[in-house]
Amino acid sequence: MRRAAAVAVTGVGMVTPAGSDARSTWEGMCQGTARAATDPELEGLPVDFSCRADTFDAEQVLGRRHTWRVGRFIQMAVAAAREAVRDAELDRDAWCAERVGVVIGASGNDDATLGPAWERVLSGRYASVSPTLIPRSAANMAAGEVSLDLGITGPGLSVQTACASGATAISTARDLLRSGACDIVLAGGTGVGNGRMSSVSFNNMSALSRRTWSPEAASRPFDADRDGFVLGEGSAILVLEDERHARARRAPIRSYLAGAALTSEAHHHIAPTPDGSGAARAIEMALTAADLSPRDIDHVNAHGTSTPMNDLAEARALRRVFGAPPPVTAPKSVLGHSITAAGAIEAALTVLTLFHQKIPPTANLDRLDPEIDLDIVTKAPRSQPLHAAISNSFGFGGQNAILVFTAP
Amino acid sequence: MAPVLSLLIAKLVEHFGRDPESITPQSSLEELELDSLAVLELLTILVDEHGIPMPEDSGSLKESSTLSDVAELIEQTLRQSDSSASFPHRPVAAGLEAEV
Repeated sequence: MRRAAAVAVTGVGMVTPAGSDARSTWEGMCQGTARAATDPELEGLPVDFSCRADTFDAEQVLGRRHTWRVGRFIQMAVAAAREAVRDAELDRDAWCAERVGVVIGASGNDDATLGPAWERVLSGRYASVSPTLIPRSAANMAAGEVSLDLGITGPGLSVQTACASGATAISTARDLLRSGACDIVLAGGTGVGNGRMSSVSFNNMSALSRRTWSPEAASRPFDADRDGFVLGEGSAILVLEDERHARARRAPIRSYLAGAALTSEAHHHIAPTPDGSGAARAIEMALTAADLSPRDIDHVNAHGTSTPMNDLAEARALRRVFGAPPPVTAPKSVLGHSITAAGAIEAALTVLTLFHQKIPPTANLDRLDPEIDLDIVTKAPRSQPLHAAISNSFGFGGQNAILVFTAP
Repeated sequence: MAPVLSLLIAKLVEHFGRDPESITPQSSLEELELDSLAVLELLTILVDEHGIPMPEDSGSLKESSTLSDVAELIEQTLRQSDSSASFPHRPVAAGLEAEV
């Protein structure tokens, strides 16, 4: 029987509000400056701010001739995938394209494309609806366009577990590698979470921060004064590779994806199990999959949305599993919540945290919620020996994805 | 240059990122990297922004068809159609109506 190989992370690509590539994003995360700002795209709405990836110039990266055909979430995924492949030092002429897969978490809720189309349909202007509407906005087209752009002919999958989508994609990629179906999988997530419809609907759900007078202070995970999350956008793609394949081509190994777990809480449509037991079970399963114990984990990259309920339940979950949890950081304090991309962006940041042996800080943590007894890294990066870390992602529908990474 | 041809070039520049210097009336759709879906997108933009009816036989265009062929198809459609009946929601753009 073929032994499942270890899964190496050999490449990282990112587009985020902190930068249009992995390096600038990492530097931005270490600075810890929150990126939320008044957003012209959301003008006039009750919540008119978000974290926009405004340094990402799709036309410059992909070329004007090609950008018109795909939505922004696809553009960001293609850019991140190209960077990840470069970072992995992959030679596309040498790889076996049919042994390469693509798995990307994405949503079909592309406000910028669908909004104008709905206006045309509702006003009877049927002939004015773009014939490229579906391929421009369908969730599966992020993976589809990445495969087209890079000439990949192995499995192509799109996964949707809401805010856990990016992490679920990475877990799914691990399964493809361990089953022997692929040698390499490009996996991650992409999302433009900050459209007008998203802002209105999440706000009406009371999920968003309404700190319109001070957007930069709005995303404040684990802080006593948090009042909701801040919408964002971005993409992150990892190159995951069968370790034997990676070593044979002398690839740079950034970290290992040692384990993963996917669960459903079966508790509530949008709320986590308040005592944290649902998330705790997922974390314990991921540690078992990685053959690690809680005391082996040196760091937690939190889901940390900045909503009152999520952060409290996550803190309780961490205490259930770890007793005294290791240092925690919450990237959404800087980047906002890119929904389907968030789990992948945070996974990429966990990989870089292990690689650099440095935990980036959580922004806006001025007064720790007294009910949250966690060691949150704040104000400045913390350098310390880091052997293993987990990245938590929790989606609506109670869909959880936990990833365990170890240092190279 | 005929107004419809000028309009097509303008739309290729505005919506498809094409370099105007590289486009001639004799450029083929293949040379312009416009596949059948892209041609439909171009024609739909003309519907949406200028009220120009969608040519019924747009499927007759081939990879080897030139931009002039597309313009001729549109001009034929304009001659044959009663745009006010077909597209009550939006009149042909004033400038183009005067020119065509």
